[in-house]
Amino acid sequence: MSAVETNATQTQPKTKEQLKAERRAQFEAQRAQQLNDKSTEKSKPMTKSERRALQEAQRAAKKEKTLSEANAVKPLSSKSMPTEKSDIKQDCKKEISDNSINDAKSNTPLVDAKSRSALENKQSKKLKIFPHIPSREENINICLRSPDVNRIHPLVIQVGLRMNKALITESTPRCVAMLTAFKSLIKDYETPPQKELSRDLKEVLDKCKEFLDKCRPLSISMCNAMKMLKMHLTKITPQVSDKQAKENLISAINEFIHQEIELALDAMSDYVLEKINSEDVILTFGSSHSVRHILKKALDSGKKFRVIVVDSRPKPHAEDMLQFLVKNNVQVTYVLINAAAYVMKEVTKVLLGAHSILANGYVMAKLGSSQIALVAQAYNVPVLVCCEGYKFSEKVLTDSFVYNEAEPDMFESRCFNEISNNKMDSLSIKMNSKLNILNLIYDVTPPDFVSMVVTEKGIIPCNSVPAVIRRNVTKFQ
Amino acid sequence: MNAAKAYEEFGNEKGSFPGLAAVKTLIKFIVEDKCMASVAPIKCVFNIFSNFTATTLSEFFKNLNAIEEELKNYEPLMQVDSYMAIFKLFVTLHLSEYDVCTFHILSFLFHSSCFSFQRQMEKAKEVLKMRGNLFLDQAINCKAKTAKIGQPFISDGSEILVNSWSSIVFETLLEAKNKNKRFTVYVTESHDSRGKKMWNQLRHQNIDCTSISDSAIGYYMEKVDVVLSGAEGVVENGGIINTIGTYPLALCAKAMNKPFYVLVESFKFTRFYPLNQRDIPDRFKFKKGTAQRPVIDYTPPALITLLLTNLGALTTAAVSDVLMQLYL
Repeated sequence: MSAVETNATQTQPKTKEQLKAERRAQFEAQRAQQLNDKSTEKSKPMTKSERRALQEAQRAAKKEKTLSEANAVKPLSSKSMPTEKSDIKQDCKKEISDNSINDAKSNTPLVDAKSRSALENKQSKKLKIFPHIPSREENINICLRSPDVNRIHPLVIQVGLRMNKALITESTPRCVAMLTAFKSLIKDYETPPQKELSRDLKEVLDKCKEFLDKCRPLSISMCNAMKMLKMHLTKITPQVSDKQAKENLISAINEFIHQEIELALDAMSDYVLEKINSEDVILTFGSSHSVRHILKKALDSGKKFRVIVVDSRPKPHAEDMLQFLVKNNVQVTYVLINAAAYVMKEVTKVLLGAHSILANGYVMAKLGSSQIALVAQAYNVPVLVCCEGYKFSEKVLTDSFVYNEAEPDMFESRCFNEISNNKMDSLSIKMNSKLNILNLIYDVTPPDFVSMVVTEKGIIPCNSVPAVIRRNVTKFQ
Repeated sequence: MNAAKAYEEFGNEKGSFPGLAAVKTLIKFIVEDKCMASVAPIKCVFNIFSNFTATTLSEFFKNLNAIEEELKNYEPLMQVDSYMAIFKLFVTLHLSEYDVCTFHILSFLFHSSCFSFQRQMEKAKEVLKMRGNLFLDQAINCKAKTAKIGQPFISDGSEILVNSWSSIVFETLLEAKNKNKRFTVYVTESHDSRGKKMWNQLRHQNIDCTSISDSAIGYYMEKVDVVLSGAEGVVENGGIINTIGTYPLALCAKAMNKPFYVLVESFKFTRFYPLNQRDIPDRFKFKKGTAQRPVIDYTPPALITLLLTNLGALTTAAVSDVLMQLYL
């Protein structure tokens, strides 16, 4: 908690404090009433998640109360603050607001209303800007408590939870993990009596998709893989035996993983290999599975080049890339994105991974990629974007706000904690109430900044992406 | 190009290697018919393979590849690559299907694999010949077609800046002249005095033309209405590879907002994609023996207004679409 503020309120004259508390109490009461009115007006039964959220808020409020009581008992000294700080942060970092101690002290009965308003605050904070941008469910128990969860294969749940906790990241590994889980799902699947495999399995897959989407919004690669699977599912006629159908589906998945992912990566590496010369200085951004694969192949072929790894905050993503390069004895420079313009002078090629390439040739990639591409363009450095064909999307975007994903746990990331341990703490709490945090995951790069796109079909310009998509559509339908 | 000398050089050598024969015929064609330099490789390949004595398809393709290699070595031009690739694709498009089907039918009919195989090879050869002829016709015709498509872009009374020698630009200008359009042409000299050739030919046709040095393009750019250029090859993003000096010309045209049109046959589209000038393969860039003096450069698509081809006036973005249809 903010030591500065509590101290300040203590030194202030009592009357003022009381006045302030009174005003606040009034306001809160009004707010609470409004809230109650609203809920009675609607007279709609609360959804499970709402109820759950409320419960949590109440629990958090209780904690607040006990904490504030402890504070009241103990004389407030600057020494005792740090331990409490961390406690509070861990226990109820979301619900806490800057003046809760004051409130609790002066007006305990209002705690409930207060916490409820805090809850509303939190919701509205999310809603205020870009409510359409999905982010992963912070409390995974909510997903697990849905009534259909028994129909979801345990492996799918495991994969979902891992994605939620960011143990499986990046588009390609996530897609492979999902497909592998689906393979065991199909293997263990048994058609319920008086139901048709193709229809019922489709339902189950839809539920799995929903669950995974809640764990973390699906990547475009996963959506495309899903489409492929459903296409194969619709091909199954009632005449086909269940065993045969399951075999067909599993082989379809295997084929997809092999052809669209594994072989595609190999083919892409071959194409990039032609473009990488010895003594090149290659700049990469973040850590991309395909870029790692490509660099590995280039290294294996005996080419000697330098790599500049660019990373960004708040979450350092490039650690994998860094580890990989150091392990392979490559001369590496590691810089943050702030220094991109500084290092760009010596760079001869920029190699970027991509989340997806859209039908208008825009490249959707990790947040910051467009900045890198822009700087590269300004310095006349060619930008190569590596993207497998199955990640192409028929979406059309021109900015990053229409379709994106938000990262919820910005404050948990290491960088932020480093700062908050020193002096950012009061600031971070202020942030909770005053600032809306938008931590997006992707951005889009216009095709003007991209020299070429490397796919398994060859090296193509951005504007021929629609042609590839058209071909993909005819292939998958 | 001192083809006559080369012809003598090669003519004296003897050998049954098909590649050598190819070069011989190529040079012969170039000597005989100067205007058709770009079609010459195809013509000679066709000429040779209609005389192939290959008894199997694999042998046939081996010979074809050998010719291709030899041609590429002798004439390291972009267009040879693209022509050969499309030629092979076009000629052999239905071959595999033909191969399997007829083989089964024939062997069923004759119950003798040996006999049917010979028959089938002959059939395949016939198909190849037919398609080769078709291709050759198209390749020759598409120049005239392109010239026709280029007509609306040459308006009466315009001043035109032309980049060096290009047969297709020449034909387009000639066609415009024949339609009684009046225009003035400025021809850049370019290296190897290729521009002089253009100038001579145009003068011969009574077209008002001036030869200007390459360093004078900035001076003339403000008064010309349109810039025309040929191309040795069109790369995948719609950029072109052409004689050195094209890139600065295009840059200058862009800077002064003059339309820069490239007249080119669609056969010159290739699945090649350079990152920058450095990325162009050396065998195109440098003539044999003249290392470090590039003879071609790459002009990025952003500087090109339109590509006027036998398929119509295309934007640069359409090139990759055409290529996708061809190769994928």
